[in-house]
Parts: sequence; C-alpha cells; structure tokens
Amino acid sequence: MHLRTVELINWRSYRHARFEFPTPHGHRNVILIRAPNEYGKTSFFEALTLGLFGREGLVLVPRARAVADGDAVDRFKASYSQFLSNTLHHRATETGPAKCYVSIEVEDDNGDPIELTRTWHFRQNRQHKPGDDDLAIFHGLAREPVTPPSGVENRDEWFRDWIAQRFLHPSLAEFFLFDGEQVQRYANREMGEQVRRGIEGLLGLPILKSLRSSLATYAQQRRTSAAAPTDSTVKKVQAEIATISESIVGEKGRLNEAVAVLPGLAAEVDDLTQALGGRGEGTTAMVGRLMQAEQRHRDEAQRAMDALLALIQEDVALAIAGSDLRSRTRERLEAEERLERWESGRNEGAQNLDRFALELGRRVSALDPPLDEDRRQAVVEAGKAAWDALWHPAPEGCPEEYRHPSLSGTTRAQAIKRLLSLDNHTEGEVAGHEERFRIAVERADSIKREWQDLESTAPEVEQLTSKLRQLSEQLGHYKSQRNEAERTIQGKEAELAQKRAELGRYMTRQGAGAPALRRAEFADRYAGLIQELLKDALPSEVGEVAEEMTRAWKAMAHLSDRVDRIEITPDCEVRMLTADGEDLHGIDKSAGASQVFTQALITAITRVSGRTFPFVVDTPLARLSRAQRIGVLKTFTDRAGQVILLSTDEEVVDDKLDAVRERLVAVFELRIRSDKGVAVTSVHKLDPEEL
Amino acid sequence: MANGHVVLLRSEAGRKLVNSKCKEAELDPGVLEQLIAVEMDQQGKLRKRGITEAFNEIFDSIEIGADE
Repeated sequence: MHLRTVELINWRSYRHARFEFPTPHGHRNVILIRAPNEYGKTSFFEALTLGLFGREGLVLVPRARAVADGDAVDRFKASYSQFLSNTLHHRATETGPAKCYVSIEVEDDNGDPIELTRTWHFRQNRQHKPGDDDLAIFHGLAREPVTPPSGVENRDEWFRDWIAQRFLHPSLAEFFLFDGEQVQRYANREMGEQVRRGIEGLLGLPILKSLRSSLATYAQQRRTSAAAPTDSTVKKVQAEIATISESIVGEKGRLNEAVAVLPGLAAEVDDLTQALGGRGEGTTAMVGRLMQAEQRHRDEAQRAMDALLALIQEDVALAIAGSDLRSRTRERLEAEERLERWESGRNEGAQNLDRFALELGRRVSALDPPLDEDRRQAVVEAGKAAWDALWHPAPEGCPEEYRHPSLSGTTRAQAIKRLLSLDNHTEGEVAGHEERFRIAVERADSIKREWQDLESTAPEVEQLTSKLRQLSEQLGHYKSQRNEAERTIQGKEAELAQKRAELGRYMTRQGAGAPALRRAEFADRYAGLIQELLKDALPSEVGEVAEEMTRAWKAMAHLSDRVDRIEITPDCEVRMLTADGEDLHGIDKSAGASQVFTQALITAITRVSGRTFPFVVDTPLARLSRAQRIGVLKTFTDRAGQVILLSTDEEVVDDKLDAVRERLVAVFELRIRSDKGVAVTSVHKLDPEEL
Repeated sequence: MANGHVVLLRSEAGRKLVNSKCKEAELDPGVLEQLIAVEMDQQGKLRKRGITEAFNEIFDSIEIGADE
C-alpha cells in the first residue's frame, strides 16, 4: 500500500495544497518532505493522522496530548473539537461558515485505489460543529462508494473497523506514523516497558487495557450507587441474630426447668411442713412454720432486688450523673424557657410597632397648634424608641443565647419534667426498694435464728428439718432461676426484634441495589477476563519481535556495539546479549542509544505486523550522533514499502542525504508566503537528482 | 466488529485464547466484543459520556443463568 495523493484545504497554514507522490519502484521508496520548522511539516503529519482515523487519531497527535514533566502523557489537553477549531486556516471564515478538508488517496496491495475524504465544518466563530463531520470513501477504479451494509446500526463503528482492517488499527498506527517526540516519549521508558507497549500495540491491546480501566471505574460507581450494606455487614447482623436466638433458647431451657420443678418442690415443702406439724410436737411444727416464713421474707427480698435492678437498668446513666448536674441542667433549660417567652413577646410587640407609630403620627399631626414636620417626626421616633424600650433589658435570669437550641416549647418542657421525675426515682423509689430489701432480709435472718434456736431444742426432728431446709433452699434457687430467666428472655427478645428489623432494612436495601450489584459483578468479571488475556497474549509475539529487533539494532547501532542478539522473556524483560551470551544489562544510558533502541523496536513492530502501510516519520533524528543518524535513516528506509520522511532543511543533508539518496523517489519542499500577515504554505516538487 | 482494532480477536490463535479464557471464566466472548465496541466509541474523547448507559444495556441483556 502506498500514498498517491494527499490534498489539504484550509488545514492550518495550508489554504489549498496537493501532494502527488510517485509510485515506489525498485528500491526507490522514499519521499522526502523538507522545510524549516513552522513551515507545515507537522501540520501535514496531523492531517494524515486525523484524516485517516478521525477522533481516534487524536491520541497519535503530539500537540493534542497533555505534557507532564516534559513528557507527553496519554491524556488530551484539548477535546477533538477544540483541537480542530485551531486547525482551521485563519482566512477560512472570512466569507462565512467554513470547512476544512483532508483527502487521502492510496493504492492498496491489489493495485486498487482507495480515496478517503474527511470534511469538518465550522461556524463563523471558528467553532467546530461535531455533528456535521463527513467521511466519504471510494474504492476501486470505478470509484464505488464504500458504505455500511443495510442493517448496520452504528455507522461510525463500521467505518472505524473498515479503516482499521484496510489501513491500520490506531494502536499500531503509532509505529507507522510518528515524530521525534513520540520516539523520545518511548525512549524515556524502561526497555521492558517499551517492548510491552510495542507488543500491546501490535496486538491492538491498548483498547482492551482502556476497557479494563473503564469497567473497573464502572463497577465501583455501580457499587456506590447501590449504597447497599456489604455482605460482611449483613452476615455480621445474621450472626448476631443467631447468637441472641441461641441465648434465648438456653434461657428458655432454664425457665422451663425451674417452672417444671417448682410446683413439685413447693408441694414437697408443704407436705414436709404438714408432716412436721402432724407429729404433735409443738417445737417441730413451729420450726416448719418458721422456715416457711423465712422463705416468704427471702422471696420478698428477691422481689425488692428485682425492682431495684429494673430501675437501675432504665435510669442508671442519668442517675449516676448526680443530682447537682441534673439540677443545673434543669435550671438552664428553665432559663432558656424564659428567654423564649421573652423573645416571643418582643417579636409580637415588634409586629405592632409600625401600627403604633402610624397612629402616633396621625395623632401628633392633629395637635393644635400644629408641630412642624421635624418636631412631629422627632416625637414619632421618640415614641418608637419608648415602645422598643418596653422589651429591654431582658427579664432577670434570661441567658444571652441558647445552649440547647434543638429543644424548644414542649420538647424542652418534657426534658425538664424528665429530669424532675428522675430526682424522684433516685431519692424515692430506689431508697424504697433498698429499704424493702433490707427489711425482708433482716426479717428472714431473724426468723432463721429463731427456728435454729428451736431446732436445737428438738433434736428428734433434726432429720426432717434438715430435709425441709434443703428443699427450701432448692425452692429459693429455682425461683431465682425462673425470675432471672424471665428477665433475660424479655431483654434478649427486645434485642432480637431490633436486630431483625435492622436485617430487614439491609435486605430491602440490598434488594433495591441488586441490579446495580449484578452489573458491577459482571464488570468485575469481564475486567478480570481482560487481565488474563493481556497476561497470556504477550508471550505469543516476543520471539519474533526479539528477532526483528536484533536485526534492526545491528543495522542502526554503532559498529563497535557489543550486542549480538536481543532476547525478550515472556514477561517482556529485555536481555542484550554478547556473542558469548553475556547479558550487558541494558544498553548504555546515552540519549542516542536509548533512541536507537526505541527505533529498533518501532522497526521490529512494523515488520512483525506484516502491514504494508507507508512509514511516515516526522523529524526523528534529534539527540542522535552522526553515526546513529545514518544508521537510523538507512534502517528506516530499508523496507519494501513507501517511506515519507519529514525533515528540517538542515537534518537530511550531506552524508545523511547520501545515506538515502539512492532510495529517493521524490522530494518536496514546503515554502511559506504571507497573505496580509497570515502564513500560507505552498508545496514545491524538487528533482532528487539536483540535491 | 472489534476485530479490526484488536488484532488478538482476528488471528486464529488469538480467538482460541479468547474463547478458552471465556470458557474458563464462564463468560460470553460476544459480550466481550460488545464491550470493546463501546470502548472504541469513546476513543479520542476527553470524557467518556454515555459509557455507563451502554455498559448497563449490555449487562442487563445477559440473561440470568446464561453466564453460569
């Protein structure tokens, strides 16, 4: 494939220019376009790139890329439209809305012509109209228009793919269409990274890397939008519910055990008491009755303790805060209540002030003899000041500001009431329960001493009373167990209800976010798939690239170079080996050697790709030594296909020109003329033999 | 339609690799191609407008169980 013509209209400094390139023949395949800087070489390069690839080609245009630390990065500093708006020739909009146009004609490998024309339209203010871009392609000697088959919905996608298949795909294009900056950008990277990117470009993997990044961002956004609790949060609540449920089951077991045992024990105690009483022994019967009485008091003590514990569970936090703090809090709230009342009255008064002033003014105006206007106004102002003074100062005890602004009106009154009721709790109820407990225990202990005294005087009933005592203790134990279990179950069931409600809310939110989470999961899985593909795709090409790199390196590098062959591992690690197999651990670090390495890689990638697209190189020789320049020129031009070399007028001269002279098929010179202060580039064909 | 750009999808060896990896991950190569086409639509843009909706549409079109 080779370029036949390139025609530019209103493209930067080109008002209208047409390059007609001769067909390469024999070993003559090089077209040299030379001009000083700023004469239009880079504009030609950009026209060719954007003409072929449109929006996708922007990444190949150095002037469109952002620059960080002196190195262009893969990020745009301007949008496609903004960039295009700057390409329009300055004279283009003089007569109204304008267009610029790039037409490229190639001859494909079958000898058939393909003509591709892009037209961009602009408003009179030079703003690009993105929706109006035109692309027309004609193929063959009959110039048949190339159009998507019927049924194709996305025409842009179809055209992109057609161009990628017939010409080049954009990620490979940077190895066929490049400038010195692009070479430098590559050369600044570590060798293994350069090779990795080169092979990725060869296989068209950058689009997969970009897709992987988009999917990762998308998955993250879907998860955020779902705003659902994570699985671990839900599992944690589920585990808590299981633990509480298990605990309730245990407590119910203890309750059932006590409930099952208690009636039998109570009956046994009654029977034993009866038996002791039936013996007719007054002392023995008395011991039994006293034991029962003791148990009743101990039950009463237990009830008092339960009530006390319940009270503490509810209000313990406020109770331990102390009455002094509660009292001061209450006083503050009462003061703020006064402040609110005063402010309310003042605001109400302020609403009547205007009416009062109007009425006062009317009455003062009616005085006889009348007051002049200044005096009348002074009286009215004095009246207003007197009205306002009614509300100042604030009543005694009003604070200057609200410390608890969230409380007002009834909520504040409720808070005050609560603080007061707590004082009653602590001083009244707590003391009451303590007293009940103390009295019940004292009575039980007293009765116990009494029956123990009696018992000592009645040894004949010792066995029975011992049994009765044992049973009574068991009775007390199981009653405590029953009460404790009931309290625990009540508390745990409340906690369980709360956790279940929490789980229900989570499940509802998860349900609502399910579609987003499903999308995120798919995105993650396809991103993972791409990662695997990227890992396994690279090794398939390393051998061939290493072979071509070795050939190119040897042709470009200095004769004294010791490198015999280049090896690339499946991980893209580069080894520069001597004839003895010694690893030179990379090339020397000079800028020139780095560039030669990069240019060897570029050469290798284009050769391995098997594409015959023209090689278009813009000023690639900066930073190279004389010998390296000659080596690079010879290697770049030593290929079967067409080579278009864009160079300054001082770059390819003398021995460098001699290095490519025999390959020149045409030479063009770009010249600039001024059209009333606006630069216009013209194209002049030179005879290669006369250089 | 992504074959022109992703050479990997064009060669026999590349397609074999893609199909094998998709089978291993229980994913559909056709969906991968659709995703690539969406990404290609975004090339050269400062901001990837519309990509979320396009991804939504693709993922929502995957029938439950089809990916299993």
